[in-house]
Amino acid sequence: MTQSTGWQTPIERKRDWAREAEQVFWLGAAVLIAWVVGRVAWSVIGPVTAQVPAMALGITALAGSIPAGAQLSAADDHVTVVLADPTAGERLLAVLAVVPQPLVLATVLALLARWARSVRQGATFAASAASRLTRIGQVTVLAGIGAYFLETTAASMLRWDVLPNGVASSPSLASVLSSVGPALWWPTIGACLGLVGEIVRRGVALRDELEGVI
Amino acid sequence: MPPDEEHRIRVNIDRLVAERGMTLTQLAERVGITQANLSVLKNGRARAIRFSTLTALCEALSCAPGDLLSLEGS
Repeated sequence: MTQSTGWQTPIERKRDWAREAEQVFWLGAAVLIAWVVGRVAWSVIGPVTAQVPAMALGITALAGSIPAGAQLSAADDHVTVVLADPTAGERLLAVLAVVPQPLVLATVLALLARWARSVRQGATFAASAASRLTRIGQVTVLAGIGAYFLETTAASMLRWDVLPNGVASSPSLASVLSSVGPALWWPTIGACLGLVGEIVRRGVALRDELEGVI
Repeated sequence: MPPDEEHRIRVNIDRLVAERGMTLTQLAERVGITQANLSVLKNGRARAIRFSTLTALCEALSCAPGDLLSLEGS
């Protein structure tokens, strides 16, 4: 009969990083898709809100120009205009003002999940893995910036639609810079993906070089 | 010379093995490399050879590195 020593040798579990990455990417994509679906559903059944710069317009002028039935609530330098009974066009603009970028992010995460799966089934340092990652980076930059400008345009059109009484909005330099700033995230993310792709590409070249060494 | 260009190094494994009455299988076992890699080396398709492999080959064949490698056309 053997006696227990009271402790066990820790079992070293070999971590499958590609599988874990795939699961995280799919989870992120699923959460974003759920948010997008919820946001679209809310835009169809709920009230539509639009952010209007209060400082540029002046609260007094703004209060006299909003449509009947709309409510105002000020937060920071923006005023939130709530349309209780929006038109179909306003609902569509409200969706387009918030949905495209999360949708692009969800797509990028899904592409990364598929990339992680291909890495699991094949090899990390393969030419196809490197080129695929580079393509995902390019898609991220192009689709992300496109989605950003689509959102910005839709938000501007919604603001224009909410204030139909000739109230002109002239954005300040600070507000323009602050609105362009978020668009820079997409090139940053795309560059990071491209950088990882380049590292994988160099790894492929190194492995090819070592394969002929005996 | 760029690494992908043709080289003129000749690996004289066939001759040395024949002179010592060995087989390629025996040599691969003594050196500790696979027969496939020994074939790659023998046929001049290897990109490079490790010093450790060269040492093991020289010990197994009782020769010097200069006996194993020669420059074609010289």
